[in-house]
Amino acid sequence: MTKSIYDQITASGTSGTDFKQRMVETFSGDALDTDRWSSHGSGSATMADSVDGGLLLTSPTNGAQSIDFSPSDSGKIRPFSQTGAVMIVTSKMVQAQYTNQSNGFRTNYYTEAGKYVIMAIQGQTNGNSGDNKIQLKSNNPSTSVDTSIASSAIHDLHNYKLELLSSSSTLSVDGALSSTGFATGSCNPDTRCQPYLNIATAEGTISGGAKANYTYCEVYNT
Amino acid sequence: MAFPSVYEMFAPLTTVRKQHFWDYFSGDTLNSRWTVVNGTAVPKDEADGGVLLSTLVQAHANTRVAFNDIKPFAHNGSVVIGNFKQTDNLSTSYTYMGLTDNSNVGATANDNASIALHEAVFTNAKYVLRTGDGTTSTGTDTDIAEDTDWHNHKITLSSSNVINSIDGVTKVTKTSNRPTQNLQPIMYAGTSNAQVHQAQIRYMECYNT
Repeated sequence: MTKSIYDQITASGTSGTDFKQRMVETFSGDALDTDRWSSHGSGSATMADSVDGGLLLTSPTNGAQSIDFSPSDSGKIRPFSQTGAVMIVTSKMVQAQYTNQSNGFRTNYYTEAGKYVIMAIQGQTNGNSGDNKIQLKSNNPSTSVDTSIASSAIHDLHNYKLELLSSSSTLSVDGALSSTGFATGSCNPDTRCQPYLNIATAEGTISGGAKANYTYCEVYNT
Repeated sequence: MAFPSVYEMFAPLTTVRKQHFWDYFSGDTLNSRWTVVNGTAVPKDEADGGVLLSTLVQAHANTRVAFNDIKPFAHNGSVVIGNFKQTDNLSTSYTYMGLTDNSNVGATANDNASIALHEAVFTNAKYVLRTGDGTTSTGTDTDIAEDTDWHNHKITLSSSNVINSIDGVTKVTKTSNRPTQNLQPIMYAGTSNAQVHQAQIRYMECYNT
């Protein structure tokens, strides 16, 4: 039995490059760890007082709420590689309608234009193309690849793995390596990235805001 | 065997994990996930010292380190593991580590499951598995005499009982007065006299099963 987390991750531990940057967030405590995360928007990022509630991210009535590593535009912290990084996030989008959740990697401060690769969940809106789907999405180049997760299951608690590869990206839902819960696209951000978790109203307003629970987030360079 | 992720140390990606946290109590301050009520909880400048809880110098002082009543753990399906000790062994002190529905774990009306020592109501000077169902709180002695040594305590809550182990050995299986509400982790040090009581913790882990 190994005695270190290091050995559990690297197996050998003989090279100075074996262990690349890694972050593990369990979203457990009295408040979001603001030494690590910056929250953006006029909604809230609070701990849910419920079993397996983790972090409850709530958007404003009409808009978005996100958390990332950047307290300011000039203070962006982006330690993850656009061509070799993984995000594992366990999350649940709460509402069925007019809600859009996106989690993944972005190069920009939240108010800036930039490049991203994300897993996106869109609830029912007024007939938009992404309605009731979980997708791999990017804007470099513009990419939108559907998984085949049933619309009835998109609001369940799922485990998402988003991986940035050398010239493509993949999304795996609940460990799927192909078929229903898997999507791949030829897209990458164009520079180093930060992780971000985002919940937004998709169309119009939602009384009390759009909501999502997060119980785990791990990000690492490969 | 190496794992690609910390996630996969505990479960395959095909399993959606439940809430699970751990704290090494290592750093220049107590991690901000905790709320400290009364007294202090600060890192101890000694090898393997973890965090030191110290009560205020006043009668019935108690220092509580918990989640400010954010309760993500299930009363009928969770585990808490804690590596802690009482630093002193005052006749008037009481020390707990476990899960509670509010951070005043000593009150009989609380839902809780904790390992307790040196309570006035438990006079056998043993480590005690204590549980409360919101109306009645009772304790069962283990066979381990209270001391000031480090021990590893594990409490497992299921739908039928609460089991505790000390240093890897099962000690008590308790079926009475089990908690019925959602729970938060807690470390607690108190004293009934106006003197400082101290306890230390260097690891805590909780997860839903």
